[in-house]
Amino acid sequence: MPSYYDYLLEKFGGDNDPDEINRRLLELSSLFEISRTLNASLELSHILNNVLLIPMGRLLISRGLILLIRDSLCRVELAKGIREPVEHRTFPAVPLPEEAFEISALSETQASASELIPFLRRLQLQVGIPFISRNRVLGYVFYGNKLSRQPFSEAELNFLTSLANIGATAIQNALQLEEIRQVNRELDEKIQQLKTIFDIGEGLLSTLDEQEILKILCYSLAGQMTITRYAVVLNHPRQGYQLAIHKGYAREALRRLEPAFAELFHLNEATHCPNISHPQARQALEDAGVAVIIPMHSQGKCLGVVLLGPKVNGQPFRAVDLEFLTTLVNQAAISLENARLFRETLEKQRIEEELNVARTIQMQLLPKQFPHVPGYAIHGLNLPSKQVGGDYFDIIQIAPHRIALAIGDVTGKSVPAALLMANLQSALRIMIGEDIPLPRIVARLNRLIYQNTEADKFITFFIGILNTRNHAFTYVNAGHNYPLWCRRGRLRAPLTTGGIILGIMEEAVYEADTIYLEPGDVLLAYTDGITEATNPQGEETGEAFLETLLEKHHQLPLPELFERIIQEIHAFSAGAAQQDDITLLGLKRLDN
Amino acid sequence: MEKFSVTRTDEGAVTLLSLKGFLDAHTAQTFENVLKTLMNEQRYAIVVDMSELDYISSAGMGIFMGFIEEVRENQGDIKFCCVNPRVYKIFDLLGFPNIFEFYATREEAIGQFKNIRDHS
Repeated sequence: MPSYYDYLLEKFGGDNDPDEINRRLLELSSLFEISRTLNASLELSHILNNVLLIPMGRLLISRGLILLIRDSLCRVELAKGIREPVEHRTFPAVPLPEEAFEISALSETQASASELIPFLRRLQLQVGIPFISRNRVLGYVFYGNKLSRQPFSEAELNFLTSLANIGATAIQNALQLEEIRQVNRELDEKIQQLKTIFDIGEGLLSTLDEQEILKILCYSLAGQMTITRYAVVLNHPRQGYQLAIHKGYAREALRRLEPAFAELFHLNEATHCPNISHPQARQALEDAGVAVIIPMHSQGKCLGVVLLGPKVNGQPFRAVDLEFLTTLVNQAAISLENARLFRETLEKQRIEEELNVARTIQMQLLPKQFPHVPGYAIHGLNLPSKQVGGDYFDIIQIAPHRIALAIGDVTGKSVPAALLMANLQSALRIMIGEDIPLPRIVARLNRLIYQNTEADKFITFFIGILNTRNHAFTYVNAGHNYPLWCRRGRLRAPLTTGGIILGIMEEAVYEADTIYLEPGDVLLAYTDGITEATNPQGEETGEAFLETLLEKHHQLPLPELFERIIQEIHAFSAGAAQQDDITLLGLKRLDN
Repeated sequence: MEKFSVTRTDEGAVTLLSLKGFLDAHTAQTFENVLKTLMNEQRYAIVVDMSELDYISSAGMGIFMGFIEEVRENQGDIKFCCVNPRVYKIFDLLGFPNIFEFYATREEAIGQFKNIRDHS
């Protein structure tokens, strides 16, 4: 079978030099080798290595360099036999011949157009060959002198060109692969970001605890962005700024940022620190080592900001990162808002339940029926406010002709006030049956309250005992609003005798006074809910308001008188909410 | 079955933590507590074996970020070993190989702390 050598011999004729044919064969086998090697690989570095090294080996060339053009920049991808560190240097792309060329033959205009040509000349590179694939120049390979110092022959240049052409296709494929890999990586990153958003969403749904929500958020941020420093500052409408969670930042450094917070709460999206428009705020953030600021938005409200330090993996925060951060942080903000609403609802329910309990206690303390006393009318009324204020009145029949009337107002509201009131009532009811003078009863009540309550709990209290036989009314007033005494439409001196409010001084002493009631006399005790009712302008009714009403309507039966007073109060408040309990307790000696 | 678990083994000065299951926003707290305990005990030479870790989320990775500074300030390190390719891909995407060392085997990772072991 004829060999390839025979074929060449026949084709190129007998007058050809067998050496020439041998050289040709060598070239062809080189091309074959390179084609096989290059097509077997899609790794750019591997391909470039071969494109450079194979001819250097075959033609005994001592130095070579490859430039690739990307984004209109020429970048040194690979250099061999050059001692200077030149790899990764870049030059602006400059038009060079689209076929093999001698670097020395380049015109001076071309040479001066770019630093590239002086650079190539300095490295003693002789020839350049473009990589052309699909009519596009991908880059160039440059070779220096052969060891023989002989110039490149045309055949050698042809060989190098063929080689570059094969190389160009391989480079093109490798570049495309690189691009696909890059796109793939970006896709993977996006998927990872979505997973994180999904993951954190799931995590956030499972908790309503503010600290836990912030922790989950910060873990995710730290992992996703490789950061070790972060802080979350919440913007509470009432309490102001709150450093909710922080790591890697000194508390002091963050406190110095406080003047900048107001500025940050106006941000709409994740922002690089250098893009903060306010110069002082920017400077403060830079000093603290903050790289990115992310506002937390929920339903148009800014709940706070997240501050992040730089990435530890050395990469910058890219636009896609900022987008991601904005999404993630806003998701956490929604969870925070939900958690807050849930807490508020719970708290409201709890308060509501407590108030119901307080109301129940209060209702059970108040007398439901008023004793029928010949010659007298007795009537009491209590309108609890929404908060249940701690008012109390009591009517106790001690003997057929002796009736005790008491009224009090406990400081505080709701259940604690109601319980204190209950204590007072039971103590009073036990003592009132004993044969103890009224001032001593009150002194004992005072000691009891003093010993069993906090320093800030006390009771204004009035108690009087009516004797229907002699119409004497003996009373002690322990710091309570003075009950009014009205005779024939004229107010007499109010009932002021007594002592200090219950529960303030352990050893307080009380005194009693006795008045005598005539037919038509009215005693009216009340609590500050009557005299401190307010209108929308914040003005109070005042004592004169009640005094006038009593003088004017003293002849009305007590229930009607009370109704009148309540109506007038409602008219005065003009829709303003009732702030405190309203209590009235009346005693009237009927006309004979 | 538990979603996530950590097994701690002390080998001299080196603590080996073997993670199992899913380390995500739900389970991150468990793992943080383990690392907090190590910090309290001043054990800063830590190898994390991830051969049985099926998934790690950003929140899980955030835990490592939260401790690495403290650990390194105390001349220690957190080194990873036996990370399955699926989990490694996530680490790689987020740039963790620039920050943490990854080893193929436990022995290799533990061996990196040779100096610390000699001192103990």
